[in-house]
Amino acid sequence: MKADRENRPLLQLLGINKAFPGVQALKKVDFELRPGEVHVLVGENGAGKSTLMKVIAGAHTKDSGRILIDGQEQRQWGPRVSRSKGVAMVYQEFTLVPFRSVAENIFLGREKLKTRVFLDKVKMYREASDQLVSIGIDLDVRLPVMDLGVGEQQMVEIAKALALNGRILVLDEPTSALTVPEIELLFQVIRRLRSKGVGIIYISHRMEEIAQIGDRVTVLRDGEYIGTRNVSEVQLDQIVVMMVGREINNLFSRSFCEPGDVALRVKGLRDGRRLKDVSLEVRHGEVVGLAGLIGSGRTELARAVFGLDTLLSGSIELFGKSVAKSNPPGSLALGVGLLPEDRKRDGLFPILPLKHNVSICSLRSMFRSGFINPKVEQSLAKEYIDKLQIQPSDIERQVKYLSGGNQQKVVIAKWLAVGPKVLIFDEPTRGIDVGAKTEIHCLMNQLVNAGHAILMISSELPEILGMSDRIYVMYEGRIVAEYPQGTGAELIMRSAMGFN
Amino acid sequence: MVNRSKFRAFFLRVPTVAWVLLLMIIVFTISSPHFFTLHNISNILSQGSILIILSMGVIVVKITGGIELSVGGVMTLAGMSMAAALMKFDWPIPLCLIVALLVGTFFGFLNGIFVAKMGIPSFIATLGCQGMAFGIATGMNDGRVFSGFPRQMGYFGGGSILSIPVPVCLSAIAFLSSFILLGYTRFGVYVYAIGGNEESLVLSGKAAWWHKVKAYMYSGFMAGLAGIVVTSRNMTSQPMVGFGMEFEAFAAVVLGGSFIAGRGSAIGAIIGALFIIVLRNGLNVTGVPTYLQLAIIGPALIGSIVLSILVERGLRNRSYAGK
Repeated sequence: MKADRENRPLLQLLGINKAFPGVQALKKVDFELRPGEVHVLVGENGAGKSTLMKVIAGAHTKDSGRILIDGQEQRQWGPRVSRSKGVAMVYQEFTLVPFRSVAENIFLGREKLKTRVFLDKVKMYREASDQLVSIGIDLDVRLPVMDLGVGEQQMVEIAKALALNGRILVLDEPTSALTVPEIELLFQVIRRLRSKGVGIIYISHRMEEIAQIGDRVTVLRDGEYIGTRNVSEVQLDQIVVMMVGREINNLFSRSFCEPGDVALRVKGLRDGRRLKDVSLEVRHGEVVGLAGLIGSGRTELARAVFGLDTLLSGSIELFGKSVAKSNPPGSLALGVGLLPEDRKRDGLFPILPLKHNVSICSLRSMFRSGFINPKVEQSLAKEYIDKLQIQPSDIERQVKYLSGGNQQKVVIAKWLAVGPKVLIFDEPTRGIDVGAKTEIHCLMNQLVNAGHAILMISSELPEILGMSDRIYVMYEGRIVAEYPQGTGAELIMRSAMGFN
Repeated sequence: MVNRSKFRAFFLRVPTVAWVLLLMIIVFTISSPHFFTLHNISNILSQGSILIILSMGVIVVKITGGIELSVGGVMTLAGMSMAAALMKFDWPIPLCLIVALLVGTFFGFLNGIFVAKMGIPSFIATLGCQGMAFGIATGMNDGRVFSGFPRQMGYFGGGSILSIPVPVCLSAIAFLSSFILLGYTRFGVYVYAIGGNEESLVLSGKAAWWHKVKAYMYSGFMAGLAGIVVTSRNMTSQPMVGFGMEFEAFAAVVLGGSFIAGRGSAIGAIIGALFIIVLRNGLNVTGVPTYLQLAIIGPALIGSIVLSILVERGLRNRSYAGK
């Protein structure tokens, strides 16, 4: 009887359907969560993971299908019911209030009061502290959240979500902003919660995390339920196959060619903050991978080379000529392009139509008179839509409506229109689904074959390994290692973590 | 190490303008014997009470991320309405005071509905309400002032309790009210939540929009109170008396550290308001001509805000690198 209860699923979804205008987002999706398991949910972008989460949270109403909690069918289902049944959501975007204390954040919306008006801060501090300790975190709950690191904020999010007798914890890509030690801490917390019988739904893009933390894995594709497997009995390749629906024999299709002259040479770069001493070179016709953990200074290096941040010392040489002081307009003129890490924020003008996003860096060179010829601009956009196969092929579409992969193609198109020689790709395929990823990689391949030089920053080791001619590894603001093509992942990871 | 980070944390919590204010007080004290006297201080606070009261309302809206540009007009209209109730309808004074407060609160409600329910950007909504308020205030007595109030009406602007001027008492109450509201009540947490991350409040199952409306109503209420004080002090109600006050109140809260949504405090706001008041008074006492004063105050405001931002950035960077 007792064993029966333990095996009874906390949450069951049966035949969930959900349609939005023009899209069937979920088609007869089944899902089951048992107490004390980490159930990983994977799928390409647009596979329906977020929609499914929102159905569980009650933020979206299902069109049809059944939701069962502890084996009992729930006829009324909405945000309040979901919360009261113990569903605790941790969204990808943090939902903390920066200027208020950890305790006030944990109790947001359920503040403890004394004399019915005033906050009972003493009680809130004590209970918040207990809450954090119970998930294994020691933190001063009086600190304002803005003074915490990203990892600590994540823990506060989890404590906040669980504070309401959470039994079903939903984590939406919880590691996307965390560093390796922070991820380890998160995993410890997850394991502790699992041993307490909390059921955890873990959404992730990172394949390696499935093996690290998952008990079972469910795959969605195009809104359809593909299958559920025990992690101990499945190979990651098989999961990839389930996700993409086809065998990917060669995920990275690089054709290597003989590199040419040095296009970009950086020597002894220091910025007085993150960059301690960075020297590297990138040749025409090669992709140079830059590996390293978040916070190791990779993005700062990219910004410094492009001229966004000031340098204390060091030199930058482009095509054999020294650059006195790099700045963005100068970099543009010399043929350096930067594809930023956060493309929505730094790489695009989300509410402008596609055509302006493509032409924006080349307006000056294309229209010397100062007046824009709309026809020329449109044909430029059309040219790149064809070349890069941007979908949908509508030059008037605001780019915020494009998928991540197509947005990235727009950023690439913007630079190609300028005709750069050196391209810095900062996390070129982050948050992009597998199909579009391959297309971006093909593009990079074409670019280097045409003689461009690419410096590629990536947190995904397979990408670094599969795409690079050479690999530099950064650690705490320095280049700590350089490896040739074909180096093992383990070696690179060791360097990135500071072992030598 | 611990000491140094505590030191830094302290400097981060105290708005930079507090130090500038301190410096200014020292400079004015040295340069004029009339500055640091009980009489002048009492005068300064009394003169500044209107700005302080307005700032105490505006800060709440500012923390939610709103820009409240209606308080100048609303305080004027509140004063005019009170005067009209008194002079045209002969209502008893307590009722007239309530009229002023209600008019203020009602305009706050309008602002709040425009912003929170209709999604109109706050500076447009409040600027619109400001125009409306000035328009009604001017039309109320065909562009003329109300005057000839009964003597008791002067109590709120000119009276005193235990030799403390009533306007100073009222600004102290306004300050305490905002201080407690922001720091020690649920509503305060929600105000910061709206500014810092409105979505989080919605996800916590709260009607964020309604709390936003309440923030504007609170600001309107304070504008109503300021209207009472200004009318009572002048013993006339002029249809343009609050002109430009919204910008001073806005400058005060920004000076007090509320640069971005979700940040700011009642203490910061009152320090910001005092900065403006002391600067004005100091320039008066040291004999700087009025036309030059305006030319000094503007750049001084901008300079202080720039300085505050730089200091904060410096402290933050260093604490970041020190980690």
